[in-house]
Amino acid sequence: MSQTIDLKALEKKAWKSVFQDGLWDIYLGILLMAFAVGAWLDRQPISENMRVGIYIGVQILAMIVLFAGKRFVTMPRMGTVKFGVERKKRRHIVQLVLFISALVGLGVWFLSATLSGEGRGAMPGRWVFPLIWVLNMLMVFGLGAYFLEYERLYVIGFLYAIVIPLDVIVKTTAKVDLDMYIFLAAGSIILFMGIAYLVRFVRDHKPLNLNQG
Amino acid sequence: MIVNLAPISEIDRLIHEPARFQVMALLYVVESADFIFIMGQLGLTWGNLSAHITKLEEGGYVTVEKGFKGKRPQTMLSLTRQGRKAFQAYRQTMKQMLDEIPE
Repeated sequence: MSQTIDLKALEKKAWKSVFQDGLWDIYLGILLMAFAVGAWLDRQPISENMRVGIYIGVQILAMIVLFAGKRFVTMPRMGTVKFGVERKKRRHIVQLVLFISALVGLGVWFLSATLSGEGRGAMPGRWVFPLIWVLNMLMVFGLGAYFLEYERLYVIGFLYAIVIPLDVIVKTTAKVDLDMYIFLAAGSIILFMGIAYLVRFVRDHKPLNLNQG
Repeated sequence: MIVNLAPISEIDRLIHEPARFQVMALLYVVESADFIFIMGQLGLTWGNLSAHITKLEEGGYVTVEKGFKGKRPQTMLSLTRQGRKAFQAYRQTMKQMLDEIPE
């Protein structure tokens, strides 16, 4: 019955449909796999510039997949929607959290890169960086999942959070360097999760002819 | 118990039709949406939606902006201020009327 319609549920359904295509999952999966590429490149006899170039290239590829997917796969099937003030506010909060997280990441990277010798020795144990990483990832993805009501981000955040400490644990206990495989495995889980959503989305939504309007 | 059904005559018939009500409700909770999005969300056909949008546009409740996104034509729809007020008034009237009907 029309008079019993729940407007909040209607808005929520419309909002959640934005994440049905799995493209954000694919993007985040490729980004994590870029870490694996980075780890692999570290073992290759190539110049630093080449290494950075390839690493950035993979990240650009992830962005291209996201934007091209939205443009050529999602839009013809699902259309376009602009949400109201409340959703915009929530998106701005997530952007702020991302910005703060990036600043924290840069700060940690700068500290570890600039401190050498005695200075590096002054830094607390080997668990500090992994701990900051875990807290940062859980905060970013957790808040993102909450404010965007994008529940899969909790799983993605967990996978992002565990890769670094897992790498340290394996290096410490088994004395083997499996960083590349750890990043690859975690990234693949997210990537395949996204692909599964994308396949279902494409199967359930046929592209519509926009020339009819 | 005497039930006052006078408000029923005040019900906005333009909104009261179920498909148009759904379109109005969806546009009420978002800023704007295109034809494809509304069709997908409400399970309406192109022809059906088009006919209802024409009526809502004629009633001054919906604005239709035709444009292009890249090379693709895009028809964006949003509620006018009048449409938003009419929808609020419709909800109020319906709620009031239904509340007065005994269990």
